[in-house]
Amino acid sequence: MQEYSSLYRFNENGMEIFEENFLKWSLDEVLEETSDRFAEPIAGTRSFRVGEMSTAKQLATSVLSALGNVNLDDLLPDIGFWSWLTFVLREELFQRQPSGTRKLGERHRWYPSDPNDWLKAQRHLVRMPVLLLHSFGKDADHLLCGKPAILPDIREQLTSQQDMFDPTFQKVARALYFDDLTGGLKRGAGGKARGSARRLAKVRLQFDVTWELEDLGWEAVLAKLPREFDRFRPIS
Amino acid sequence: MRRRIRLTGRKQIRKSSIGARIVDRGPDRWIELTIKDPGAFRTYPPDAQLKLRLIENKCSETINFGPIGNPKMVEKLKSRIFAAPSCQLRIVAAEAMERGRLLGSTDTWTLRTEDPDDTDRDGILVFQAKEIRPETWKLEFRDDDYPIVYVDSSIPNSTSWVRTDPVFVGCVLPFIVRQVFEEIARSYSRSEGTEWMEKWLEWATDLTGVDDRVPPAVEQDQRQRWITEIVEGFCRKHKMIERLDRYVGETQNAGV
Repeated sequence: MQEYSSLYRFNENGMEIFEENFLKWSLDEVLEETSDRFAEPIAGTRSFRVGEMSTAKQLATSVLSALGNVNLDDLLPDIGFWSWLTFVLREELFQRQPSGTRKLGERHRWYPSDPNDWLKAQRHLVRMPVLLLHSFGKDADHLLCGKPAILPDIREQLTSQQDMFDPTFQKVARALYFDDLTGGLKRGAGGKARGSARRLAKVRLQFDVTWELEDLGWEAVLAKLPREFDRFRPIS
Repeated sequence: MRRRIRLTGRKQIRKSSIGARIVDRGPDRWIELTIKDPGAFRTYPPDAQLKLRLIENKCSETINFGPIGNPKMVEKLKSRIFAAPSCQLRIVAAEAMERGRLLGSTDTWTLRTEDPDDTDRDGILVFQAKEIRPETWKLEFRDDDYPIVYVDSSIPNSTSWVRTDPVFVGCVLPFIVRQVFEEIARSYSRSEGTEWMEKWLEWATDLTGVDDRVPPAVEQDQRQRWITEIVEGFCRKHKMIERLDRYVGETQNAGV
């Protein structure tokens, strides 16, 4: 368990080392995350504890509570901030394999892309969970109930387009795919089958040119979904 | 020529019928709406709601300006994230039986911050001043609007400069065109064609006569030839070498 007195952002020097060496994973010896040679504290933020985090929601909750009164909007484009968080959370996000190396996966899972990059921004394993919890609260449960290290298919499918960041749409998706009893996803929510999240993303495009989801309300949207979604509908 | 057929009954509203701008007042941000063509809105029920949807940086906010019969013209933004959001005007039924039905909408467009020098707002490539230092310019793709080129706001009259400076136009613009078509080749598919990509393909066909069908992914060499043909056609049409040559010559002579 490691505790920091505040949140930090990497400075130019820290970013250079982070970007060049994260893949090699030799940073533990090179990069001191609170040294003023590499990072600077963010004024107004609170203490941040890194420890066991079993879900992406827990990770996002701890970051949001450490933000204090700092507005998340101001930090979204701050690549140094998200890189610092990725670095201090590396044990949670990229677990060591028996060989001693770490499997990082696609670059933008660990290196924050431009937040407006419509193909890659949703892949970051820290920024996207934080943004989703901040934007939708409990209605992001279906996107954040998995382990922090995993980018679930449902998150990729339901956040890849900008106008999916709609509270009513995500409320509908939670009602369909999140199981309140188990705290996890319903079976079949991922994948390509009928009624899956991938299909919901397609149906949303049709709804978007016919309805204003916010005015319709999430229960009415649920009622209008095609029958292929019946197996996921909540029991009323 | 592809025609858009609407099966949902919603009407297409021209973007030129309205104006919108983001205004900073003290710590708050406001959005001002101007109705430029009242005739475009007469056919809607007076209680239909006039809404503006803004999307940027994976954040969205819909601003309700109230009934179309008596709309408010200024509303406060909840989020401060927006710099150049993608934006769409939507008219939504309020009557009980039809509540939530979309009666009309515009295409999306990028709501840019005010730049008095910028008069060309309808191109297929958007230029926007923004603080992006240490980079001088940056190309960004969106799923629902034309590609946007950010130019660092510290450069004087930056959005005019990128259109007129012979070095930027001659050296950077062809590279931007290449990047755009590489993005189109990567992301475009007939079944889910993004509107901006279709406009770019039409532009390329008009300009160079190339096929407006993207060569398939398995034909990488053919794709690269197709992109090169477009970039070369663009450079030929705008006499890039001659313009740059003239400029470099003039600069060198002036320095002698």
